[in-house]
Amino acid sequence: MLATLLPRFDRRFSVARPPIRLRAWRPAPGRAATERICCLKYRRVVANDHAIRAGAQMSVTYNLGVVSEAAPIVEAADPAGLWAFDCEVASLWCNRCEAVDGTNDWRITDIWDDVFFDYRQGICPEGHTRVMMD
Amino acid sequence: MTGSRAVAPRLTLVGGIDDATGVVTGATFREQEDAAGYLEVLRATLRRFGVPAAVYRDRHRIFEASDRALTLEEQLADVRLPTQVGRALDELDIVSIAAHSTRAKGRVERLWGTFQDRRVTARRQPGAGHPTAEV
Repeated sequence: MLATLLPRFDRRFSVARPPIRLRAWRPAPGRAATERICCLKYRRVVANDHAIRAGAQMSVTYNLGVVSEAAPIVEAADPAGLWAFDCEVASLWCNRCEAVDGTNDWRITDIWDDVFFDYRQGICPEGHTRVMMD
Repeated sequence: MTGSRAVAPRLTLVGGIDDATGVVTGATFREQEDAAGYLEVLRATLRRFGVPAAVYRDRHRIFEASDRALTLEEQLADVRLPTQVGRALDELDIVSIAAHSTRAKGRVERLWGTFQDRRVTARRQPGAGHPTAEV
């Protein structure tokens, strides 16, 4: 509805851009940079008991040897590092775009092997396919 | 839900308008006024028009949480961390100007009046999808 209403509103009520020299608009950064900026970012600290506070507490349940490798990646907010560590915890990271895109733009499909769930496949807005959950 | 008397969901429209031309740069429906909505509008604005030199906005705490107590982390660093939207504006090097009254940002307030008149009627037409899916 907004998609049709906004162009009609713009046609009816907008006026020509004033002829001034001051540039009010600059070119936007690329899609990946835009997505990297226009998202919610939270700093996370992995506690000594391997818990990450995210509203309700979320626990890092990897074995004790592995969590020491995961903690600096989480605390550095490095999605590429998380992807390399475990692709399932970097759920919206596309390693080919090297960007995190919003959920609405991903096409997510569950793949079934007969009656058994096999894996969840995601296709990013640029068309790259990755396994979301295995 | 169809018909003018049907009970529609209560939603908040978050949007922006180009002060020079009156073009709506982006708008989205949210269940409440929140940072995710403003970031969605900012994303739509960037994609359609580019980076604005400045935004003229209200004094909502989504933009600048100046009255809350500092967190322990902020006290140790002796700095107030920006809000999510404030951080995005900083990263884009957009000047953020807080209006002191609703009258000061009259163009966008007038837009809300126009939308309340026209949008509600369009919203209740048969076949209209769920509004939260719109940007």
